[in-house]
Amino acid sequence: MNKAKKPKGWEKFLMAALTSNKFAEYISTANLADLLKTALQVPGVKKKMTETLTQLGGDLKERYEIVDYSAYADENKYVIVLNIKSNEMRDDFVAHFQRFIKDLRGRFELGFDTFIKSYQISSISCKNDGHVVKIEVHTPRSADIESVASEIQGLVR
Amino acid sequence: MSVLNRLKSWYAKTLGKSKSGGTDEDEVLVIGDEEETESEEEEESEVPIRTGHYDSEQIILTFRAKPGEEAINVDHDFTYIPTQDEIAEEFGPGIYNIFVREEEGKRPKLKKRYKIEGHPILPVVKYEVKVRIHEGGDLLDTNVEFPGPRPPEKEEIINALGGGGLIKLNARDKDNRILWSEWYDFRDIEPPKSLVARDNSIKSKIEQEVEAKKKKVEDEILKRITEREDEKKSKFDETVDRLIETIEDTKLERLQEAIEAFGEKLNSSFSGKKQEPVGLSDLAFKEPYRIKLEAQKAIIQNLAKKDPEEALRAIERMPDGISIGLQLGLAATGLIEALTDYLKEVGPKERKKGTEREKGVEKRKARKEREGKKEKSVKEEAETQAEKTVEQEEPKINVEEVGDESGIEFIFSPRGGGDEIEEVERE
Repeated sequence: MNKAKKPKGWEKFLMAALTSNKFAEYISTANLADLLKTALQVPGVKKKMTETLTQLGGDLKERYEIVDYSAYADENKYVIVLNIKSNEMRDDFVAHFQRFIKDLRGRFELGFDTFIKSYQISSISCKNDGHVVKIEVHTPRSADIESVASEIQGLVR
Repeated sequence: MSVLNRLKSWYAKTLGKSKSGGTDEDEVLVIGDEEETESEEEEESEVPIRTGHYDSEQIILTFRAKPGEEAINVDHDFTYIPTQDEIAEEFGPGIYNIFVREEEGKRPKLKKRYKIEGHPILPVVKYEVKVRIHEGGDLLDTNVEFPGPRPPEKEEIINALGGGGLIKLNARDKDNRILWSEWYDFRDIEPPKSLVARDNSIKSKIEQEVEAKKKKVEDEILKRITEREDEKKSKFDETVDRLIETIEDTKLERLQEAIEAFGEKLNSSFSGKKQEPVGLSDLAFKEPYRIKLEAQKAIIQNLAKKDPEEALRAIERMPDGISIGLQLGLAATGLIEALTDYLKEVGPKERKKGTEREKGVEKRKARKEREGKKEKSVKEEAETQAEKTVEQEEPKINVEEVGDESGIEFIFSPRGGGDEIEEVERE
């Protein structure tokens, strides 16, 4: 198993929540965008999330020289296209994404698995596709992911 | 009443000597009702008044400014015993005694006594006027005087002075003694300039200064209040305008629709059924905890059916939070009460009847032996159930990592083997 950072207190709580059948059942039927909206109503969450996402987006854009990006949902997949001019940077980004997914699973363990299972995600790929980097999330619930992404974009904007 | 007196009275009236108080009706009374009048005169309390049948010289009117002072005779024209109002109107406040000398040479009899409140004016020969421009300032003499006994009116004082101020009126008698003084506040009228120029007292100057500052402060406050009122008005108008705009704006309806739709969507997302909205904290923390408690409760209940003592000990061994949660849950089913009752029944029997206890132990042992296999299977069943519950809470999946030159792909599949990410190099 990939060595990961020791989870923090709130992460333990989140894991406990994610490992319950009830939550799995809920998340498999819930609209994630609505869930996100509900979470954003909790005082301070919206501000913290906006700050974190803006910082993360800015860092990534600067680090990997991302010119712009676009996203769309197909019937069975959600696709994000990142316009990165340098081939070296595209490769770096793919490597970064690989580490990111492993780290995510290492930290959240069962929570991550529950999420993947609940959202019926069969695979996630990240590839250097010539002039762009393409991230594909294969799931029949691609529309849900698109609506969540739309909410997140609204926060960062 | 003697005929002579009646004639005198008639004569006096005819010659116009009578006071205006006498009327035609009075005369009729005198002439037509003489017997009755005669008898009434004998008693002091029933003295006929305003009948005009005395000579004014028969009526002696005395005045005192206040009790204890020497009385003075007052000249008058009354041919009857006047009322208090008539005395007050004619001579002003004071203490008056009215005597009547019925016959020549006899002592006059007291018929009436009036005490009219206020400053007496009767002995006043003159009124002198003094002025104070400001409160606390010097009292300035003036050459303005008015003859007594009637005091001057406000208009008369102001006209004579040529202005207002704090006016002091001194009433003096024929010996130039001040009988009384009265202050009148006519400061709403400008004081005469000639007096203002004479008012050089320090007190007055301070007073003037203070007054000026007071006025300045008052003006400032008034100005601010007026300005604020103006501001309020403008803000209020603005608010009203905005309110009207908002009400008229159709966007409000759309917003309401959006909120309703969002609410419905949130509620219907729970298993497709409309339910009570559940908070995020409930979903994230309370629900998982509750499920775990339910599982543990089921195990304890199964255990309690077979071995109550062990079940009770198990509850006691649990961490506080879980123990409290479980106890709350179990209390609802009455299990705690049942266990306590059971122990109570067993306890005293153990102490009092050792043999019975032994028998009981033996019986329980025998029963345990009989039910040993069954109990074991129930325990196993409970443990299996607990394990199953835990297992259900861990929806592990397999992750296959497929890499090539272009990038990486994580393929997720239901659990069938280990939980490590399998790395596969794709050619």
